[in-house]
Amino acid sequence: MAAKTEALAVKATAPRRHLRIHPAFLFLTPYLAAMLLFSLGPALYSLLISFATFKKGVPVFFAAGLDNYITVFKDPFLWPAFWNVIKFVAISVPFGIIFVVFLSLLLHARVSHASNAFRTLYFIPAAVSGPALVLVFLFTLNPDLSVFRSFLHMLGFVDIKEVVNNNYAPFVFTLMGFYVGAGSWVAIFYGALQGIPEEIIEAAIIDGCSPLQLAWLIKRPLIGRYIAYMALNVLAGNVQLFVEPQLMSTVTATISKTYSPNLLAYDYAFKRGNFGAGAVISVMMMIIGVTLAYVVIKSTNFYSIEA
Amino acid sequence: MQTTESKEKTPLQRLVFAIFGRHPRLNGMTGIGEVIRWAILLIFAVFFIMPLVFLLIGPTKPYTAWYDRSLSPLHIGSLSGYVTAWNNIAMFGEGLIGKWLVNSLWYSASSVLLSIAIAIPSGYVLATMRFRGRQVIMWLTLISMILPTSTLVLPLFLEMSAAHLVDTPWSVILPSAFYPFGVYLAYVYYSTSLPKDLLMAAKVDGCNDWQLFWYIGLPMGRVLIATLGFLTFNSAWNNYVLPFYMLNHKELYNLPLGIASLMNAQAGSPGFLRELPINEPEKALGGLIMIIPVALIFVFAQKYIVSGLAAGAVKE
Amino acid sequence: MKRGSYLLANLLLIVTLIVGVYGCSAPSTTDIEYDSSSPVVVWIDAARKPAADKYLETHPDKASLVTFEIVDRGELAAKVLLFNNAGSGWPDVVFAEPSIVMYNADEAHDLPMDLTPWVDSKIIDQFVPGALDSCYKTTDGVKELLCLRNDIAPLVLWYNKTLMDEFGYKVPTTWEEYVTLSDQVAKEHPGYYMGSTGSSEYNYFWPSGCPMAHQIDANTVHIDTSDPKCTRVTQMIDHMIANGTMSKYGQFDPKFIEIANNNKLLMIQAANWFGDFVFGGKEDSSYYKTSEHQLAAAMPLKWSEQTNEFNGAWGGSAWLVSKHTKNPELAVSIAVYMTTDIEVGKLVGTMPAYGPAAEEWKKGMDANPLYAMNPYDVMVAASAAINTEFTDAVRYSLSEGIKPYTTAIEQDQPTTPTLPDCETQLKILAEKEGYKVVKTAP
Repeated sequence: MAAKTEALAVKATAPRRHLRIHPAFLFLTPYLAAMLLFSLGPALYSLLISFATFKKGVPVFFAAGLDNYITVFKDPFLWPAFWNVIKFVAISVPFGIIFVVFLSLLLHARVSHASNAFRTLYFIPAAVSGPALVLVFLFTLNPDLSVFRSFLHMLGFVDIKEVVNNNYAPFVFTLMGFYVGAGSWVAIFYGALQGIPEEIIEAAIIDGCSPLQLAWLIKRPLIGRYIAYMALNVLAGNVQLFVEPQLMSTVTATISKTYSPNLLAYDYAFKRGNFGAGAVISVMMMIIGVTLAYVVIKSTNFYSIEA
Repeated sequence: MQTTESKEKTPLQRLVFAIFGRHPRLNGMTGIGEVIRWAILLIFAVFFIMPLVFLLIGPTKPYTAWYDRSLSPLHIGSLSGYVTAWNNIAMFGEGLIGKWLVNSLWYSASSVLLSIAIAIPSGYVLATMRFRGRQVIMWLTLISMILPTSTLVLPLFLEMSAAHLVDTPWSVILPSAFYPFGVYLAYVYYSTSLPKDLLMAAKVDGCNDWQLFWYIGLPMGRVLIATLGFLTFNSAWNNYVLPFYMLNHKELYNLPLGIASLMNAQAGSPGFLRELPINEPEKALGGLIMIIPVALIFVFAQKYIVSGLAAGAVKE
Repeated sequence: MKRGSYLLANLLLIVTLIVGVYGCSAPSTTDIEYDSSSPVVVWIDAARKPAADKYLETHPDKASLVTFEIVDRGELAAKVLLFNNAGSGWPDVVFAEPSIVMYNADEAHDLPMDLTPWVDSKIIDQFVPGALDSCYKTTDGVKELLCLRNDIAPLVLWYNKTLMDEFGYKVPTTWEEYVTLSDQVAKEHPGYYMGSTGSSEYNYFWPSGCPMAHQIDANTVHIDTSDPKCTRVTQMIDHMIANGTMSKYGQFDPKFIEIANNNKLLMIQAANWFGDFVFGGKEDSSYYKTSEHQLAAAMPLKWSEQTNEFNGAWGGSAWLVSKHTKNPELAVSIAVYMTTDIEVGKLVGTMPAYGPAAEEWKKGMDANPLYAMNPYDVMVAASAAINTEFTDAVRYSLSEGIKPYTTAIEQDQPTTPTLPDCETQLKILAEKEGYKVVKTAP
């Protein structure tokens, strides 16, 4: 209903503005329409749905009051889902940063054709995503057939259920994220390191700076804002965990079907047909997502608005 | 200077310098440092590459060889295994894999065209013009660009279902019209590489905004179009979350959804396993079909893609 | 000029899209007018494709009206709500497990049609006794037939006749004898296995009648895992894992398959389709290498206090017809064809639920050198012995519910202490689906 008014509003105001509209909007209308239809619109619509009940699948707006919110907050699977994501983020963000910085410094220590070749190798897994990524990891983490099976046996694993389960899931998803993303981040950090003027490095050496001091005192602060940038971006992405547990839970049944909040929303909507409660979780995740995005933009200074 | 430098360090410190040091002449442990540095880089290379190598040789061996402990995991069967695996996949739903491939191609192609056609003019004006509402648009763009797909997909689904578009290709293609990252990339590109003087000069010569874009902006954006093309193709080709919500008919699936349903083929109703010879070799082949086109693009276009990913860094 | 028309085009685009997206959604509640020339859409899975082709081939006059679509039935429930929302789009016939049929039979989904008036009672009478039990739904004394069973999957006790004869063992008939035999096997022939813990909810808890899915009425379930009918199962499992005769791995785990392939599997209580499809399957992921004439089936095990209903089932599916179909005659005829046609029964390969088709299916096993004796009669008797106080047609997932139990097995912990956790988990899942959970049966 509200949506219809929106449509009317566009119809009504457009001709009036026609004469003094800025030419930029000529170019922007398709984009703004798409934004309205595929981002802002759905976001508002789900807010609306979160207060609706469904009678035989037909939404009755505002009929639920806060019922859907109460259902979700009383759901015994809600907190575990959030806790799973918190654990995952707490492990994956530092893990990713430490190893990416480590690898970038290592590669940048001596630039050669070989280190470029390594960078390319590290980057290839970026092409693996979604089901293919889950497939690769179901093979790689299976002690029966993994290419690293002697290593897994050394760690004492004999069966895939001992590796892929709710307890180890945060590590498994961390490893998957690192496998796909590390190459791109290394490339970005490498680029940042190359941006450090040669004079600074030379001056530092002349001042008696050791290579370690060089790496730690000079290089790291200069890439410090890249670290913040990466941390926040990885955080914003990982909070919305969905595909990996979704696929892992259908294929192996050892990962919970409501592992993350987004999976719980899916479960509400599609397994139970409770779109209202699903929308409640979506609204929660949107608020978290937008807040994180805002912090990313504000605090890293990376995204400039003014040209 | 060099000698005093290295004398003051403990052996451990010297080792660390040798590994990370940019100037190996500055210390006395170059040899060991070099060895360790290479060893670490190699270990990571093994971690990143071996699972893919394993996937690549997977379809060459029959199912039983996968679990045969007397064989090395890297044991290579015969190339005819690929043919067998392909035939088995082709049996799934009587050739669904072909439909998935075709779907993936045309969904991706339409998404690429749609998102580029909308992103480039938008980024162009955001970079070259000043107008009321620009700040708001920039903010909305940045925020939705950082927000992952899985956040908005349920709301989008509810909307699409209200529009009766669920379970049609449109439900997967149309949302790609909104590609904030592409807009931001185009914005960064034009604000750094488009000379303002050139635009001014053209304006003085009587070009209108549209002509400026058409005759100056667009031709200058060839690198941008290529970068966007790679990035959007990659995300459209690998698109899983959106089709997963939207599509129901297996004939409409794209490759990622199809591969996922191959992975589930065994987990499903146990009584009918035998009807579908979908095992590890077939799954591996499915995964490869999904990975290889993108991996090839990545290796050859790495420079463009990384420069795209580091969009923030481009603007200094 | 250019600018103006561009702007106009853009505006038109927005308005059309917005109107398109939000404009129409008027669900129809009017009664359906039947029309025998109306097309029929049938949702099937990939494995049903040959049967669908057979239908089109044998019914050329109907072929233009019938469309078979391969659809993931896991999401049927959600899609049905959306179709209800839209007032259109429902498939006319759906292939699905009875649990899915029942899930879609509640007030919100309201999909399956009562088939009683549409299917000749002579056909219904010819289904294998008990086969249609999971298709019936009783609300306020009214009994509705919501689906026709495609195939049935009662458990039987599969055993290796050659090995049993060689070792001089008698085939057990009760779980008590089975446990005693397991101790003997552990001592005399260590390394031989008598079962797997996979899908315990079907293979052990159901036959025992453990109340984890005891449906009192459409919206009430009885859950009480402290019942001795549950503890005797976990005690048996713990005992046999400890003595090494029960594998902690599932029936399709490569490690279990290795046991079977090495001829170390003495017996296993499992579904009837294990014969043709696992012991006698093609050489791939879940095939147990089996010599000819060594496999035999005995009646499923019972606890000594049990008299008649002592069996469970694992798998088997059904066909439902939608309430919203415009062409019920054709839709029902397809469901009937799929379940009763003898040729289709052969294509499917599992045990048809329809008596005459099952009889025909029996002949296939006579000719199969896999078996030491034809297991068909055992299967029919086993099907009649299925415990109806337990049903897999509840709306919650039993395998999710017994996660604490399965986790304990994976971690080499005893399972009996996990039963209270299982109860909590099952209760949460059941209540989430709108069930009222009671601790004692009325």
